[in-house]
Amino acid sequence: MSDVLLEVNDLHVSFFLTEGIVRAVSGVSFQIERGKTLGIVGESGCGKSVTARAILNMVRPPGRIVSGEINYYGQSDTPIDLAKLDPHGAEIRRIRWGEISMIFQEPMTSLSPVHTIGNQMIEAIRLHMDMSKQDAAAHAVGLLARVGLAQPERLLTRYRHELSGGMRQRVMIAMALSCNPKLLIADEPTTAVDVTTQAQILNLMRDLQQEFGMAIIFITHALGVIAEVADHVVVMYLGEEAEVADVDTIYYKAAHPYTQALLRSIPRHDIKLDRLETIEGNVPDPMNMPDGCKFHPRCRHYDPGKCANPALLQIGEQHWSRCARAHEINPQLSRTEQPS
Amino acid sequence: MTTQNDTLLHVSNLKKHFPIYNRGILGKRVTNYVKAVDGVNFTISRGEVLGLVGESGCGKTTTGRTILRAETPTDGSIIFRDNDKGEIDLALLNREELRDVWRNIQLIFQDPYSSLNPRMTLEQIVGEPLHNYDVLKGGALRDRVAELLGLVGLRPEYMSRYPHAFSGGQRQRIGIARALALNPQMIICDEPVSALDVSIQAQILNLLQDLQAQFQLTYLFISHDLSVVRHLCHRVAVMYVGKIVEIASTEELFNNIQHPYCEALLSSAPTPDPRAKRKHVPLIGEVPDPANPPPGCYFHPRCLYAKEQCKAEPPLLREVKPGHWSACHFSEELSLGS
Ligand SMILES: Nc1ncnc2c1ncn2[C@@H]1O[C@H](COP(=O)(O)OP(=O)(O)OP(=O)(O)O)[C@@H](O)[C@H]1O
Ligand SMILES: Nc1ncnc2c1ncn2[C@@H]1O[C@H](COP(=O)(O)OP(=O)(O)OP(=O)(O)O)[C@@H](O)[C@H]1O
Ligand SMILES: [Mg+2]
Ligand SMILES: [Mg+2]
Repeated sequence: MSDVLLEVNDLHVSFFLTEGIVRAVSGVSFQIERGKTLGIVGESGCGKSVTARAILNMVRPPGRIVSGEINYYGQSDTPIDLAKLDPHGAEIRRIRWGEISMIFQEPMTSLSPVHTIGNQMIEAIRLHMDMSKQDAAAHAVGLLARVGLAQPERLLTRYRHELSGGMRQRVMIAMALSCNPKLLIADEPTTAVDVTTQAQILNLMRDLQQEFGMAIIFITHALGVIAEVADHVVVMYLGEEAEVADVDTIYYKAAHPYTQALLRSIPRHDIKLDRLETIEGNVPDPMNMPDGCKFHPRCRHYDPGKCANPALLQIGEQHWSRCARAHEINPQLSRTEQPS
Repeated sequence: MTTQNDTLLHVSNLKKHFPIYNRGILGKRVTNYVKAVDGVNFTISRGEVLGLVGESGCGKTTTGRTILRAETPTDGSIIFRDNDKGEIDLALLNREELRDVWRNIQLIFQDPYSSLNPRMTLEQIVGEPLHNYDVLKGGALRDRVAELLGLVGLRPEYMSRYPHAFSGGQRQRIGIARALALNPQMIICDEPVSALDVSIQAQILNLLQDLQAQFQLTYLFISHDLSVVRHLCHRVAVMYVGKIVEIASTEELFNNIQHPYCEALLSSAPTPDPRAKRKHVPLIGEVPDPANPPPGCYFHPRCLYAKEQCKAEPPLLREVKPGHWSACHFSEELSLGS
């Protein structure tokens, strides 16, 4: 089997509203390798969660996958295109949760307030694994213990509101791991928790990845977190990827003005900065996206003669940028890395 | 910590305990207290930005609200050197006296969405303090609002619009313009950038920095984000379960940690550099319940260096180096963060 576990090709997802069409994802491509972590980073509304839902074929009306492929190499070298499966069919239901599981962005809404943690876990486990109630309960206890929760048996009888934010997030991770997935999609899993809890959860996810060997798609808007967890990074802006590369390249050889600006605009606890650089203006309204390069109204390198309609350009072995001037703005990219 | 001439605010032994009630057949009974703020001491000088950091629930917001007297303190004094009235203890003032002081102390909130009245125009929102204190009227008030909007980078033409027409970053600018309206001496900023996206956060941080320099403003800057605090603050106070555990100038604190909790907090903060070598000081367990804190040092159950003394004796906040205060029995013996 090849190293690639999942391959997204030119994915388009739109929401068809009465006021107009929101092109939430408009031509995104990336790959994720087995056992590796792909970080997806970008500001609010850039399409991170919609991309994640599309992978599980869970985009709800009025939204739908308009075009593109989501090739999943789960069992063999012959992929299944998840985008083409019936969203309510048996096959996608088997893959969801069973092979690809997701931690949703809203931890409050993804645990039921009226059922105990135990009932929810046991039901989910039995839906996908052929287990008796007792076995499923034992499995749940093992998972809760594995994610570092004290007194897991007692926890089974408790309700959502009795848990702290960090405990809830651990329960979500335990549930997502229950069928030993090949891919775990974690949508902002640490955004609602404190830094200390965040550090615990990131360590836990790293350990679990080593133990179970699953790949992780880690979605966040926090550049600090991405630097710590990701092997590869997709930087998104307005439904497109601005830049794709391995994590070191993103932080040291960024070749898209948006990535560069983001990195210069964050305050840091590890070095003293006098002043932050800012990206002028706001993220545009998704119903009125700029023509041509979507970043051009905020870009300091914009040149109308050169920046008409940038494609995602391969500029290094593992490095893509959707900037027509990628080579000019990043002198570190050597000539030899250019495609001929 | 003595009160010097340039001290604007001196908080001593500030406490805010919220009663926990038990409703039984005999009616409401107080069974215990949430010790949200439990003996906090610090000073802020004129023109200084003091950061107040700590985990969720440690008492940052309650500290800010009690200083403003939005909460009545359970104990302690809040000496403020008011431009008009001289040195006064805010803890002792009644409603009417507070009204005068509130001209000089303003608040900026975390949530730019819920903190603005949706039925008021920008002119009304930003002009409200001027109107309430009868400072300006009519054309002069409009001119001042226009000037304030300009200061925070909003177009004066927006004056007749309502908040819903603005983005999160713009709304935070509106809140800042309103806070500046009466030329306050001090602004309490409670997580003013936590709800904002990275690029907008940078714009607002720069704005707060520029305004502070331009008007020699004094900020109490509340945040849970160490990066933001390091960037903006002159001095930093770290809070844990209702108490300040360490306070020092920003560079001193980030380079020369004296308290084990601060070491753990700093090592938990993610670094936006994949080549950074992480020193992880794992923080085990959970933050104690402020209604039932452990005996001795509140941090001892999670502390890697805890000794017998820590389990029994509550440490005092003491000056371990000039200007650097720590509430740990063993600050001098430990060499932290290295
Ligand atoms: N159900 C929906 N109906 C209409 N538009 C939607 C819907 N869901 C998402 N969108 C739009 O799709 C775009 C992408 O949204 P998405 O939730 O993927 O953003 P995100 O990157 O996850 O943002 P955040 O960081 O805030 O979670 C946004 O413009 C959003 O308004
Ligand atoms: N009005 C109240 N009644 C009872 N308890 C309260 C009240 N306000 C705050 N508390 C409690 O006091 C403690 C401190 O809360 P506070 O809001 O000051 O924390 P914080 O440091 O601002 O946290 P965050 O980072 O989450 O904003 C918490 O345990 C909280 O539940
Ligand atoms: Mg999202
Ligand atoms: Mg608060």
